[in-house]
Amino acid sequence: MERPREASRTEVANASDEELLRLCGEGDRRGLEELVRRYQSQLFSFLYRLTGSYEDAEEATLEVFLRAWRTASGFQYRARVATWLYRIAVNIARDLYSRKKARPQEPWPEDEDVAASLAVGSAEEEALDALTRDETRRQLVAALDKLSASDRELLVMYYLQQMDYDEITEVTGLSYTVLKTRLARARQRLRRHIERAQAGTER
Amino acid sequence: MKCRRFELDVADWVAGRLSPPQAAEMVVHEQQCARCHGVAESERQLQASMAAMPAASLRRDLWPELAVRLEQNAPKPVRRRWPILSRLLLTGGVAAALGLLVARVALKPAGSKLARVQDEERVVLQMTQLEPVQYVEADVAAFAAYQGHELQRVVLMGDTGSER
Repeated sequence: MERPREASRTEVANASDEELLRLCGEGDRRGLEELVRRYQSQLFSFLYRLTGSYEDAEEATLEVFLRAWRTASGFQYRARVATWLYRIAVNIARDLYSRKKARPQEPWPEDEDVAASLAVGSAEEEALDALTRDETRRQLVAALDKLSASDRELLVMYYLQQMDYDEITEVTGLSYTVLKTRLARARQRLRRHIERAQAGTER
Repeated sequence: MKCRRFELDVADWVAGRLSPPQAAEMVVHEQQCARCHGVAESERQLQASMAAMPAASLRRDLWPELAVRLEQNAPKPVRRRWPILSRLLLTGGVAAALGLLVARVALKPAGSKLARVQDEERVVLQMTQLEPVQYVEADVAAFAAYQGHELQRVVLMGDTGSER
């Protein structure tokens, strides 16, 4: 009785994303378990960039898989499963954003590292470098926070998730031309926010 | 190459996403245009900052919690088919039972009505054969008795009864 079970587990581990989603549609949780194993880290990372909060990102990641489980039987297999999961993630992040409006300001992990390195009395030059890097990063995070949800999504997908145009068009539903134009505009707005922050004109 | 084209492609160029011929065009334009040189520099700084952004990582596997939530809340997609099927079977069963009941009720009156009519006819027949004679005799006797009493009252009391 044990052997077939082990064999099917191996099959699940080797199955394609589409096959795993089919298992989900049939109510087989092993399909979802394997999808979670494959995508939880990158989806969490993506959602963390969009929400700026560890707790929100974790909760949103759980919600992505719950929604995927609930709607798996209706998936049309026209898009890739990974793209579909990202699309769900974007929708959840938008819902979260519209609910919260004022976004939480959590210390970024590396900010904590910098503070720790200064606290233990590292070399003055290194500390200054770290402080400058930290300041630049803060300005970037603050500038990203000031953008609209759609601008931020595009920039996060392009720069931080390093997705190619095909993937982003699949997730957003935008055409290639529209996407390039919107990305350019989002980039301009981001730069403007950073420049204002550097000039100290921004509140 | 125009500046507009340069601005649209500058991010791809800095990120190394352009083909070599396209990248060569960008290099030439950047050398010729001071404004676009500034745009390219700004893009390089932006991408360096983006690359230095901290990558958040999950501190735990989410599957155990997800499994608990599935158990608690989410209905299994596959089970959705069964309620529909069972509902259809139930509806079909109820409809069949109702159909049988209606058929039974619809068929039964035809026989029983006939029997009832036959019974009624039999009763009427009996009544017309027996009761008219008895009824008429009894009535005549009662009427005669009544007339007798009336006559006696008039004689004894001198009352015709019309004044009452």
